[in-house]
Amino acid sequence: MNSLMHFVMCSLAAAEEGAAATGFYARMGAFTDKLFLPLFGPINTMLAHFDSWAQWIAVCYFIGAWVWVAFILQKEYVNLSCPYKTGLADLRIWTLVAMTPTMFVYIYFN
Amino acid sequence: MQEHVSLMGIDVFIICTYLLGVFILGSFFAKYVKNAGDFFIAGKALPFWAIGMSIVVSDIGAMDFVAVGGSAYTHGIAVANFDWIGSMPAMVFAAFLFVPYFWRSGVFTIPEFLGRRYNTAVQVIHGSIWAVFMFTMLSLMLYVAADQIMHTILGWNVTATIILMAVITGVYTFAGGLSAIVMVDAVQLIVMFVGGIALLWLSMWEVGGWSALQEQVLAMGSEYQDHFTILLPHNTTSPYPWTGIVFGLGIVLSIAYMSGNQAVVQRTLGARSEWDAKAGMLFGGFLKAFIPLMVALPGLAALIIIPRVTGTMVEGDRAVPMMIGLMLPPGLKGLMFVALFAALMSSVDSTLNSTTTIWVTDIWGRGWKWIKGRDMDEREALIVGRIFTIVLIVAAVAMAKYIGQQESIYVLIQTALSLFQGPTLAILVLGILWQRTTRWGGLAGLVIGVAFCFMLNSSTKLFPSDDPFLFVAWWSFVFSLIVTVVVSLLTPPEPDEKIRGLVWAQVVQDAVVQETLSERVSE
Repeated sequence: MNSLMHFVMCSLAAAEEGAAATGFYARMGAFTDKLFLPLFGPINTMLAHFDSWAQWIAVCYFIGAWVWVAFILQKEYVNLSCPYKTGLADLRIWTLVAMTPTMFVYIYFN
Repeated sequence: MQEHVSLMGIDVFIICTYLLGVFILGSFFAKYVKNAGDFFIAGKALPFWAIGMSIVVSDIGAMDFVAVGGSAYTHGIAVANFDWIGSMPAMVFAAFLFVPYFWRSGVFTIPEFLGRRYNTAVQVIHGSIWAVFMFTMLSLMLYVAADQIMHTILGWNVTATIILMAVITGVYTFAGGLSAIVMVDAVQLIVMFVGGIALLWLSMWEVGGWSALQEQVLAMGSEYQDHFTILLPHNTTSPYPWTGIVFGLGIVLSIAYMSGNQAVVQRTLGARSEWDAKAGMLFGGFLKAFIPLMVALPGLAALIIIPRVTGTMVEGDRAVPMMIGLMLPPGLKGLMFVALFAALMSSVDSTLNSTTTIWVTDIWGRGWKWIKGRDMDEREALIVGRIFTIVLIVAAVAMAKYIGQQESIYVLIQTALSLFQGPTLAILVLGILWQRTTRWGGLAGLVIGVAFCFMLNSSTKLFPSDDPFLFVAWWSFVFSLIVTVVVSLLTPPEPDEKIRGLVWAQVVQDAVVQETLSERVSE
């Protein structure tokens, strides 16, 4: 994933640099700015107001994913073809356990 | 300070023993490969733990140790988001949305799904883009690891290193297929964890522990104040603002990666049961949570250790290699290089096998059917798969230096692929979840979405970040969703018989469809 992101970032940056030299990309950029700035300007302003909520929005994303698995999907669907009889093989529990270290990170670091 | 890290006799012994062991272990699985199913999806016999370990180790390349450590050194802990919020939620959605779907619909690749849901042209185009992308990645992995790690750190010859890696991985991938790859990956993950934890533990010991590291880095000045902030403000000029991380990475790019990456999908298809496939994804997500500790934290510790020893700061990408040279004693140094080899080889073998699968299933297989009027049988597919494995690894070695040194080629391909991520995820999700999606809706969503992505990427003022690729991914996804829905509603619905068994609700709930699919899969 990191490798992919690294290359995506490099390629997008390179595309901007290369295209800037042609002039076409710069003209398209100016056109795009003019066209979409009235839309994205207010969105950026609004999102900046939620900075203090960022940590909890991230945590809620994890919780939402777990709620989807644990309460919205059927138990039979989640654990279909489970070869073990023990309750510890319930993937709803696995989901919570697997997410816990990452959720802890987002609670700890901000 | 010396230019290259010197290895002692015990380090060389550990590296040679490891490479030989991997070669023998991988080749051992050749006796289990009797047909194409054994070669491509391991005869559907993989347990969850092997799937999870293999997904993680395939995802972490040798360059991650260097590049992620370097990014942590330069930008701080925010880079770790790619393995935290950029992995776990996406793996949950993949486990319970996409994996059961692929298992039950009898689809082996994403392009194959798009071909059945939309048309053959979409399958061939999408398959070709991924095949070319993965082949380029294969060449790049070999070149970059050989040049920027083995040559830069150890002074090894680049060409000889590329050939050595290609021969070892190529032979066991050719002989043992997915079974060999996954089992070797499991061993390689353990080696990576041992090497990574050794570097982490010694780094933390040297700086005096976690609290001391925080205090010392924060005392370095205002430019280091965000080094321990994982979610940066929306208006930061860093590439990692929280809005981009949560929406662009957490919702779009990570899900596109986990559901569209053939290397991931293929491991779950090789599971011995649907439960193992889902559990493997969850286990992999759990293991991934610990990766940043091994690759990012040593990069942060380098901020303190390197100036203390050398009296100067270095470039980000030099941080971790210098830490290896400075921190690790003989023996552990060899183990760390084995970990780097493991990271490289696991990425190469996975990419090689997955690229072969796409070539055989979505490109060669379509051409075969068009010319001969029938699908390949199991034996023919196995022979073609093995031939493609050889051709691809030889071509990757031959092209490695050229592609690695001609930046424009891979930049062009990577740019094209990155522009496709948001729109492709939009039509994939709607195609699976919404029965009313039409071929015209999908086509419009893809084409107009990519054009919109290209426009957003040209902008310099729409987003506060200097490198707003996360925002571009998010908004192109949203835009493509809207376009696909609107055009689908304006065009005639697809006939029921065309999409039967291709919509998630039917695949997981409809008993009649299930029965039909079971018959299709058993054929």
